[in-house]
Amino acid sequence: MTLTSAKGVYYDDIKVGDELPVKSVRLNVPIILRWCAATEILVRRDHFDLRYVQEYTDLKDIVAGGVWATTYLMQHIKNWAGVDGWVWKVSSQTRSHMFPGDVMETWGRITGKYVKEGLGYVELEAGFRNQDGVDAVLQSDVVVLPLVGGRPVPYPFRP
Amino acid sequence: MTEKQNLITDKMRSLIGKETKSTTAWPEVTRTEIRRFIQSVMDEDPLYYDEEYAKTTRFGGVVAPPTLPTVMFGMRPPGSWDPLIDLPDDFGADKPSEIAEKELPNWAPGVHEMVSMLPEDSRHFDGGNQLEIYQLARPGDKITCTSKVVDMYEKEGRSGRLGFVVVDLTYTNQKGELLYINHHTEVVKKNKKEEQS
Repeated sequence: MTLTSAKGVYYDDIKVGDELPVKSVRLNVPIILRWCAATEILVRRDHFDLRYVQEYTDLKDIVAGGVWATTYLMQHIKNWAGVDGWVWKVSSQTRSHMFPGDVMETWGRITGKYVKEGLGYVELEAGFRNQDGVDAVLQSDVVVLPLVGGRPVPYPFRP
Repeated sequence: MTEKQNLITDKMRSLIGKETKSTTAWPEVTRTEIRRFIQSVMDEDPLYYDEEYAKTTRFGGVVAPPTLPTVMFGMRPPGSWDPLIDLPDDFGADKPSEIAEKELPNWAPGVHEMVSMLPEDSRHFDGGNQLEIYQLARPGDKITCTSKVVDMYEKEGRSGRLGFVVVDLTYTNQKGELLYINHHTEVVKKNKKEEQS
């Protein structure tokens, strides 16, 4: 089953093995550059300066930021959990480069779930892979969800 | 093995278990910073800009995405040295000596301090991050990052010997409230040229 609720999900509705909805984006230079501008990461010339990349690195093109990709995936999982859920833990690794023209897509799978003190804890594996199936980012996350008829996930979250 | 051959120096090892740095980001969290950030990661959730909507949620008002504070530590305070003036053509950001000498603002201030102690013939890269998120920043917040060195070790990898520097970065707001902790790992390796010589 693929979970698609934009308004969030209840713990009770989820089974181990369920897959998260997919979100995809075709990378281009402006998208990569917009992240650099927003974060002012201008000494990382490998993210925007093609001349630098060609003359001083062994990369074929500029590369998208690893933290950009991690955040893109994390925000996608947050939207799946919905406004009443909480992305509590995110363990993330950048595994390969992302270049302009790459079509990146998210994937995610529920690997475990348990209830503790009236809240639903959902463990999942997720990634952000290119058109060749190569993962640029891999994550293991723990998301906290309300149970049907249960108490809301507290904010601030203090487990 | 001599000190020069080690990736992790004795000086670095002496910091294990110690709180090494506490830095407050110069910019405060603003609606403009939030806007730029959410547009760049393509998540225009009204929780991040629509006060009326956000007030109806348990957050009680507009909040920032969890990792926005991290990138704010890389934003240069006005009046500080501008690294873009007279920037050498080959200046990148993966050589520890270049970053350390210039004292550039850095997303992970405590990691920056470790990196500045690395041997000249080494380079480093992000080896992974484990976030624990407790609270979100709000417009007007001033964020402080405190770093503590948790561990350092070396081991053989497929591409040669690697060093690992593990630092806990704890982010709090101006009230001292915990926002999130990043258990960050920085990987260190010898430069290719040095490996061959």
